[in-house]
Amino acid sequence: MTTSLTPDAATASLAGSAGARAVARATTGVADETTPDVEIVDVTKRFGAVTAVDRMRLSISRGEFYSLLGPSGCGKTTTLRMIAGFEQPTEGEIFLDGKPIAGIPPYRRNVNTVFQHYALFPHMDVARNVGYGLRQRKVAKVEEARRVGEALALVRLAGYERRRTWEMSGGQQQRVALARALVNHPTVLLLDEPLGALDLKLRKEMQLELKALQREVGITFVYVTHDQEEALTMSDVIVVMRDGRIQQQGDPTELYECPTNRFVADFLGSSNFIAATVEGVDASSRTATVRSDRGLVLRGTVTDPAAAIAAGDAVTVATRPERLEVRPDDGAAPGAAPGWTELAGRIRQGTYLGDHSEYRVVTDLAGELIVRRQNTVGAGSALGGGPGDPVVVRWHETANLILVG
Amino acid sequence: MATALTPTPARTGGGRAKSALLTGALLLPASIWYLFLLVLPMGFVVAFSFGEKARNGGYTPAFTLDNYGQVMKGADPFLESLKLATAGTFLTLLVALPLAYFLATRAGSRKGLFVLLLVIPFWTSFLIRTYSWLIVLGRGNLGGFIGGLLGDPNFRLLGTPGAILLGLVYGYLPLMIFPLYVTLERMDRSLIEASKDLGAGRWATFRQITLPIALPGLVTGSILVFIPMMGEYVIPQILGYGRTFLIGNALVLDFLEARNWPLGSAKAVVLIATMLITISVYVWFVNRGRQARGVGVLGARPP
Amino acid sequence: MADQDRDAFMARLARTKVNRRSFLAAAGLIGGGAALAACTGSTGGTQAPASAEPSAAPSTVASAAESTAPTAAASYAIEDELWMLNWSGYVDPGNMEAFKAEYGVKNFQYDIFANNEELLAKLAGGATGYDMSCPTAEFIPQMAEQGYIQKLDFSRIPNFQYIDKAVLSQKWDPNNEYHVPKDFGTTGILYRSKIVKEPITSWKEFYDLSTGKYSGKVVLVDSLGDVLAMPLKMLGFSINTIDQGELAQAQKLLTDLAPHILALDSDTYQDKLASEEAVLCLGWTGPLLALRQDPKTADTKYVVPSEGTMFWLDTWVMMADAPHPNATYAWFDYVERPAVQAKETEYTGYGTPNLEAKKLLSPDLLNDPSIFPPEDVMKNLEGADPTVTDNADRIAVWTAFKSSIGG
Ligand SMILES: Nc1ncnc2c1ncn2[C@@H]1O[C@H](COP(=O)(O)OP(=O)(O)OP(=O)(O)O)[C@@H](O)[C@H]1O
Ligand SMILES: [Mg+2]
Repeated sequence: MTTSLTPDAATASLAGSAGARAVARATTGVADETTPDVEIVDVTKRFGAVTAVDRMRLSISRGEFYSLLGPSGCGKTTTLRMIAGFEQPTEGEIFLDGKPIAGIPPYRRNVNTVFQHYALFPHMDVARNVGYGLRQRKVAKVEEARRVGEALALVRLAGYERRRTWEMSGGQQQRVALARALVNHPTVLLLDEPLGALDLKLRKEMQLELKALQREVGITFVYVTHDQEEALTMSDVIVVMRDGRIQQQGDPTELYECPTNRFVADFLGSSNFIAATVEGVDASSRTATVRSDRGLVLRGTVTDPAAAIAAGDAVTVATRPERLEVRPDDGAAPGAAPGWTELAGRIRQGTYLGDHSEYRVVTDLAGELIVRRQNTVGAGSALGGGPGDPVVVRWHETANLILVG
Repeated sequence: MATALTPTPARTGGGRAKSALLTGALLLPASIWYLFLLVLPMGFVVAFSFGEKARNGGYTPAFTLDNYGQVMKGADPFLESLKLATAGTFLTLLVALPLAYFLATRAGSRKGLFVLLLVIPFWTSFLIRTYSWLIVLGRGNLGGFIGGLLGDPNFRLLGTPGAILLGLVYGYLPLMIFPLYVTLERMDRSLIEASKDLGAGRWATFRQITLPIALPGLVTGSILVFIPMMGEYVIPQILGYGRTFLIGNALVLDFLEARNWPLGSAKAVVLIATMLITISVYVWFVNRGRQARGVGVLGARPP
Repeated sequence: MADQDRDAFMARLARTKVNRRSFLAAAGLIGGGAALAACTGSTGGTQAPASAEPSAAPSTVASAAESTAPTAAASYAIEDELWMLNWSGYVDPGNMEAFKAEYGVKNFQYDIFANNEELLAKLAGGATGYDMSCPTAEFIPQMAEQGYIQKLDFSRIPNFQYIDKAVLSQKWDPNNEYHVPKDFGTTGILYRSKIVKEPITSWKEFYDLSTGKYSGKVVLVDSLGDVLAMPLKMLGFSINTIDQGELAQAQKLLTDLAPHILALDSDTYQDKLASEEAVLCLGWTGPLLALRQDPKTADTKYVVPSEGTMFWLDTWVMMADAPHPNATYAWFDYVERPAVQAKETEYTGYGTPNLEAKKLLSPDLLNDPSIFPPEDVMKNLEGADPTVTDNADRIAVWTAFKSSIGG
């Protein structure tokens, strides 16, 4: 009868465990509701000469969807594996539920992992795969069947109990792996690029589903990806990593609107970068006036609150392509409104990309700029767009992000 | 409509014929080998087993079941060989499994070296290796040493069942290790991590994941080891001091000393039948419950 | 592994003809060892032990050879080729060279076989062009029946007269039509006289010591016919008996002996004797010379039991389709010249049935009772009867015996 269970019932059961945990915390007094689920304190992991994770400090709050985002080899998987217990930190300490977990083997950590290639057991059917964790805890057979049914209902695979895993599609296998992990009510669910093997459409579908599921069950997710769009779509908090170091963390808007360094600005979305020197700083509004190498004067916001800058410092001004506007040069003298920068240039290349077009415009004062233009009604024909055509690019100073280093 | 469709089937039909030809060509050498070195000799053995011994030894055509009657009267060598082969296979498995597991999962970059070390002794003749044990276990060395510890001057290792089993395990270890190693090596390492992640300890993981997945290799290895051990003659002769009368002894006696080919052939047929039955029972036993889920060993669909 | 251990080991692997009834040798398994021994520069000889001592041939033999003139062969045209299929290292190369020179034979081909079964297999496989071979006598009836060999014209082998009548007219060639006996050897008792102080002359004494004082230090060759010869001769029966009553009595003796046996071993029994793991042995003369040459085992003695025993006889035979019959007859007669045969004996170390040749032997060899048993013992020697080897009752006795040794 497990198939008749509604996802809601299943959710209720899974969510119940969070309450139980809270009680456990209250009674032991080790942690309270504000204790982060996972706390990584100054953790460094070295493999011989390679430093995979470098002095990482991260606090993962209860019930949130965290994404570890970064290019290949930046240490995302290593971080997950340390939380799961497959690797031991070289230095530093990891706390789970407020308790240090050094030396506790993976099978005694209340953490479950969804592996990139699912790692489903080939010699077991779906139900036995999903029930594996329960059997290790000596859960009674009837109880196991009930919870397996719930978990499968949750991932919308009710009725697939007796299927063989290799007969299922990638997306279905993915869900089995998810159910197998969730059925154990882990404190934290670790997911290592779980959608990596799926095609784009299915991926997008699963992204939304995963996020919805995470909301429903209220379990903390730590999600590894190198796909910025995926991270933006799903995360409560994105942690951008590079070479084993955290570059910046925050919610998606914060990260996109306010990248604190050039790497983040480039990795999350894309940016035009203009090298410049600080001329004056307004500490109260955290704005600065800078002059580019070619003499263009710009004002902008200093994004990194920790940065101390003074006149004469070398900085980079970043602008998002979609914050720039472009129009044909009508011959009118470039006389900009206050707060706006207007530059004359010539189109080097225009690319039509369906919903928007992208133009590479060569300007005298700011070099080559990428400008993105939404193809709204009538917009398509407004710009001639041939190479060599004279155009005017303009943007407001609020688009200028001043990055240090 | 019909005419428009005809080219497609014709094309695939031609492709199928070509691929059938290729399949045939690829299988030809093996088929010839199989026919001339297995089927034909087996046919001779079966035919001989119903014949009579020629006056000076050998075979004359006839049809009699006397040979089988005689074989049935003396079943002891079969039982002796069966006992030895079963014990030998089991012990070999016991030694090979951890070793193969180590090689496949823990040897790391030294894996190649270990495999090489494992193989090198087998570049030497089987007989030389077996004789070497005579020296190692002999009174001048290990046998004498242990005898000294026990204070028993008559203690010996050689000529005991222990020495035979040791020789068997040593001689057939690679046949067991390599199929095991290959299946374990091919096994996705993340399965083990997944198991641990889900709360299974080392041993539980080994029992529930590693072992079932290695089962096809284990069965292959056991069969590869069991078959020659059934016919084993040289090791019991050398290390066991010839104190046992095995089916191998019986065959040597029949073929070489008595030159009674029909009787020897009948014994060979019974031996082959015994092995086939034993192996079938074994494979059936291993597959029980597995086949229901389609992950049987030998011929069942691989994961 | 100690150096001498290794040398002994290599030497053991290198022996070929020594353990002629060994299955391992028969299966060609030991052959590979010989090659290895050669690579490692081992001192182990690759032939019969006697061949390791080429200098043993005394000069008296050579002078005796010169004094004997060619005889009957003169009236036939000797072909200039001669093809022989033989055990390896079983003919003195010096004699071959002298024969070639004397008879103008240009090509004297020496091809080898490892055991009688291989010889038969070669012939069955259509090996032709050979003039002669040298099987063990019990294979003569089979080879004659299958038409591989021809009857000999003994008028062309005058030197056949020197052959000891004791080895002739045996079951394998009752009318002496096919064979010229070459060498013989016996199954007997080997023992370490350093330890076994009791004099041993008979199977009875061997049996009593085996079941008594030296229990657990007894090794027997793993060969039905040889082992069965012991109880049967002790009881005064023929070694070839198929009489159930006689066999039952023999079985009783063997069953009582079984618990005292250390090993049944045709391949390495000499090592068990050498290491003193065994001090009594039912075996062959093959390893004797090697054991005696080693100072540590020089006390090894060989006895041909007084009750009689089994003996083997290798014999010259002529192939049915011999392409060079005249040269073959010439060789048969030549090799039985006393002086030539004496050289052969010095070379192979096996007993010759050529009585005149014996007189020319060095006293060492001649007075060795292991090679030449006393005449009264010689009378009691019996050859194996090839027709009884698959007798079910005999095999049952053997099987029961082997099984009762236990492991
Ligand atoms: N077991 C290991 N031994 C040695 N080096 C390792 C090991 N595991 C990871 N590394 C190294 O540590 C660094 C970080 O690896 P990690 O797998 O954490 O990267 P990642 O961010 O997950 O990359 P990807 O997106 O490609 O999966 C890499 O340089 C990698 O080569
Ligand atoms: Mg990774």
